[in-house]
Amino acid sequence: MQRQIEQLKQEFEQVLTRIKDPDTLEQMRIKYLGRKGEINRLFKELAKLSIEEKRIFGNELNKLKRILSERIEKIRAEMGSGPRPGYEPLLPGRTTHIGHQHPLSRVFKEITTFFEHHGFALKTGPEIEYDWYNFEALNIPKHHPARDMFSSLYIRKDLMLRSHTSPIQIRVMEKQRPPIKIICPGRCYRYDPFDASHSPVFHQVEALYVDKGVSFGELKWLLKEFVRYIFGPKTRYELRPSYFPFTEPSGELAISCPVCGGDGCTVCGNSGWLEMLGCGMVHPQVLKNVKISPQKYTGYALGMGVERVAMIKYVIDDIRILYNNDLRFLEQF
Amino acid sequence: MLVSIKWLEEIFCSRLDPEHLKKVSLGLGLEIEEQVHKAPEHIVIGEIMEIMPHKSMKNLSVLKVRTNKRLQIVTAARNIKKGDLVLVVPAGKEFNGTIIKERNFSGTISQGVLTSEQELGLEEESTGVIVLEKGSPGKLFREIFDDIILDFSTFPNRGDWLSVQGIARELAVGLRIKPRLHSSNTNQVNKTGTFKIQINDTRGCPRYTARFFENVEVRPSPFWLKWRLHCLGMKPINNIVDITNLVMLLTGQPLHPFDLDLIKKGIWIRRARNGECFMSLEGTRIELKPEDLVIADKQGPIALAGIIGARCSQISSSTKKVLLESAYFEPRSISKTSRRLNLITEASMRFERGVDLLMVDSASKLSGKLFKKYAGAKEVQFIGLGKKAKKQTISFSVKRLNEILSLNLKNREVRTLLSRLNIQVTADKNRLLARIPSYRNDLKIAEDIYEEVARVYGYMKIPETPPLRWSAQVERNRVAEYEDELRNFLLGQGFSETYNLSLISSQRLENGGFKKFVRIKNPLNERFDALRPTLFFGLLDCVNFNRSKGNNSLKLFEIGNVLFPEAPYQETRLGAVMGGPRHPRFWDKSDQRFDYYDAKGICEAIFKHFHIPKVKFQLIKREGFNLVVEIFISGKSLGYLGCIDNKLCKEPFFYFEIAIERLWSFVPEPFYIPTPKYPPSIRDLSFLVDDTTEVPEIIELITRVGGPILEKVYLFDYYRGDRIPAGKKALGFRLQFRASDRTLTDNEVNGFISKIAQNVVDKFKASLRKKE
Repeated sequence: MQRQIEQLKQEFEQVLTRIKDPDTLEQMRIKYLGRKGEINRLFKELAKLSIEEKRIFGNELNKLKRILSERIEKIRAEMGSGPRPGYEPLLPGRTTHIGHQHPLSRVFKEITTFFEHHGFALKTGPEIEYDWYNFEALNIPKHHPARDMFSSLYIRKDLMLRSHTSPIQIRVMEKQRPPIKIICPGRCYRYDPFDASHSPVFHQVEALYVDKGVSFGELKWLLKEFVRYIFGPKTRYELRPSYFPFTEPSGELAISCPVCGGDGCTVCGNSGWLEMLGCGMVHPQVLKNVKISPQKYTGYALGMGVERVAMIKYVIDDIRILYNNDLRFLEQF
Repeated sequence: MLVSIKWLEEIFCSRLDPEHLKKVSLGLGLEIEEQVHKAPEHIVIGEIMEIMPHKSMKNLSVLKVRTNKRLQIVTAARNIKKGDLVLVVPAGKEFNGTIIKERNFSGTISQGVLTSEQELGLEEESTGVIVLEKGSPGKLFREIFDDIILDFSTFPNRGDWLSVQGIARELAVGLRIKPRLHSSNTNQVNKTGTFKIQINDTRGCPRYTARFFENVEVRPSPFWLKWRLHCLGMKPINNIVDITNLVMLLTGQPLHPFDLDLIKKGIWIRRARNGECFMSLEGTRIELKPEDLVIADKQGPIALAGIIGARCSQISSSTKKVLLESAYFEPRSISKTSRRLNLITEASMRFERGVDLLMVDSASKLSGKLFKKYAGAKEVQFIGLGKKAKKQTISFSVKRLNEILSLNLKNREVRTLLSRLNIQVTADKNRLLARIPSYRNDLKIAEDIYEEVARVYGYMKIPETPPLRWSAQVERNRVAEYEDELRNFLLGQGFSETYNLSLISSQRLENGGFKKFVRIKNPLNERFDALRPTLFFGLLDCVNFNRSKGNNSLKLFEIGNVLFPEAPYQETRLGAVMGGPRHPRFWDKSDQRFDYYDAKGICEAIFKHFHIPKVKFQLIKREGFNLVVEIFISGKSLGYLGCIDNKLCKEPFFYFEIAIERLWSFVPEPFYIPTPKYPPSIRDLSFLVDDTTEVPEIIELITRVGGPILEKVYLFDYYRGDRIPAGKKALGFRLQFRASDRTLTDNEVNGFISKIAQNVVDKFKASLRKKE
């Protein structure tokens, strides 16, 4: 046994001198110190010896095991953990795919985040909608010229593709009593060609707040905050009178062109202003349609096109770019 | 609505600056969309001082024309005489895109040209040059005639904005200049004769007037009138029709002239009879329905009320007697008919928005004056039937107004603001009463008044008021949270997000094996005549598009709704596609490509990410794919994963679609299990099994037999090839045993291992492989 131990020790010393890299070192460790390694083999052989011998050689073996581990650890430490010889650390690394969020999704998130910070709850609704929710309940009767504002795609006589996200507010107000404070993102459809400035499929975000004493001034405050949050503190806004069948008074928000700062450029058609969103105080008829008392409650609503916000923010001049998913475009976000 | 600045200047008796107009109108919600110059810049008015025949060229005359200079002009025109006023383009100036040059006609110099109606776009073909009725020689055309035309974008509730007067009234609020408007006050008494007029439907036609003229001379309109109509987008026809159009543009009241001699025995305003039809002015045959309101004589309809006249009674050059109709037709009825027939006319646009009931009589009267002036007509009779306008009032409260608008206005201030819109306010205890002008039929409720106050006060002056309360509970939207989490997970895995249209071609869906999908009733075109029942085609297009642009290595996804023809009509899904080199543009050319297991790995990682257990895959067949598996969770099919058929995509690309909307119900809320205190015991088992044996079944059996102490089992080795018999595969499983309360003994684990091995061997006809 003594001989075997000595032999192992010498053999190990010889092998060590040949070790050049961490891999062979690890192989050596397994060969000598591993579960089925040389040391363990000798330990098994101890079983055949007398009690006295077991004690002596057991100690010897443990000592050897300790020495070997220390030696290996020492060499390992000397080698360091750097790359193996032959590595060129300055070569480019292995490429990996980077996921890019679509600008529409990015803008959706920015908008809904703003409103969620202000206490609006996120709500969604169906893309295939009844005429009642898309039009009638929103104070747009059949055969009313206001329907021309929303050229729509139909599936059946009374079933259509929603032409705005406003039906969501009706669906929520039908079920919930004020206070109602919701933000509704969604996909909408219009009977529009697919060209540089139109898309038959587009997205909107709609916000609604109905409570006691909600005022036009509060809406203006929120719009001011919104413009600052989304477009930065340098962007100014203008609120202009407008018309929507479901709000009264109605307004349209324009922002100073973020590209030229309001001096006039091709993006804003030299006007310095860009129309951004429609808004207003919820029309009393709309509240009546969902059995909320317009004497007791008032509310404001606002809605905007997500594509429009994205196109203004990122200076995109053709709406179709948002839908052809060219990686060279997506990679920029 | 097209409006000429010149016309506005006539109304305001003042010069107007378009830029200032733009600002003022925008503040009132009246947007000028476009501004164009209509008048040719260099045309000047000239007086013919002398006409002489050309020395050698017979068909030419030589003119001496006085503009601000004296010009010699050679012309072929025959319709001119000495003293006529003509429109001259002097040589050296641009006209219709070309520079007019001085020309030499056999020794006679021509220093300009005379212009014709054809050249100004008024006529298709003209026989002579334009001769003006009046004008000052030397003045530029654009100084005298309409030039700058503004296109106002109007709201569907503001019928009054479809008139020059209405626009002027609105602008007056901002300009603070009083416009000279055509008065709507007429108190004309019926001068009845033998002609019979009867309103059978007083709801459809609350007021109808007819004015009768004799000795009418139908001829072309004077130049200024033709030019004005042309600038405002209407085609000049003859003096009678042109005058009615001019008055309509001014007042917003559509008028219709009939040739009285062609009307048989009176006029009835009634609903159409079933099967009735008539030939419109434009020569199209129109089939009528009983809901349509018509103007009829004894023989049948002579006009579709408020929309278009019939050919049978139209004004012609031989017309001598004219019946001029001016009426109020109920908006809904006009809108319904005109939309059904897709016949939107200048008249129908105004009637469906509501015309000014007070203007019905006076627009007709104004027309009469102009008929007399420009057609020599003699008014002989007037019949007016039905009701006249009543003043409408709206009651409102200043307290409420201030609450809604966040203002603090006094009664007096509100009164002043509203008076600028000709709304008179009278007090009635706590509430005020607003008397609405007859042309403002859009004002119906108190909120409408509040908007008017805000508009005149200025939206920008309304204070930005921070909210004074925090409103109620904010509900949590789990679905939106999960979707966000999934999106971020995939972005982190290197997938880029796409947005695809939901409209698709039905042909493509049918070719792809889809039978049930939503078809659009009124599609834009064949490309967009159905709604997507899958996200696949959009992502497939993304792959092929990007590959065509040189991006071969792709990982893309979309989270979006697919649509169905029946309830629930829609479902949110995730579609993801990947393929191409795994490490694009990397110098190590081991050329590894994404394969099926990469896609399956991502798919499985999604379920792992959301801690969804019990996901199973099952081989199926599916159109457009080879190697495709269906994904099940707790026995419910949630989607599929497969390799896209090379007919659709040349390189191997892998696609999976998951109905995430149904997935979320399986997502557990995480809870903590203490991390293990005792060491695991790890064993490997290798089997030789038939090629057809499915690994998940073996793992399932191992798991079952292993019981609670079997913490983990996974396939760590897989081999098929020369070293083992054909038709077999070698599988290596690593099993990790652990107990939460003690260190497991070898004996205990060995017991389980042999039990597991035996079970697998028996069940799958496997043989246990010995370790080398």
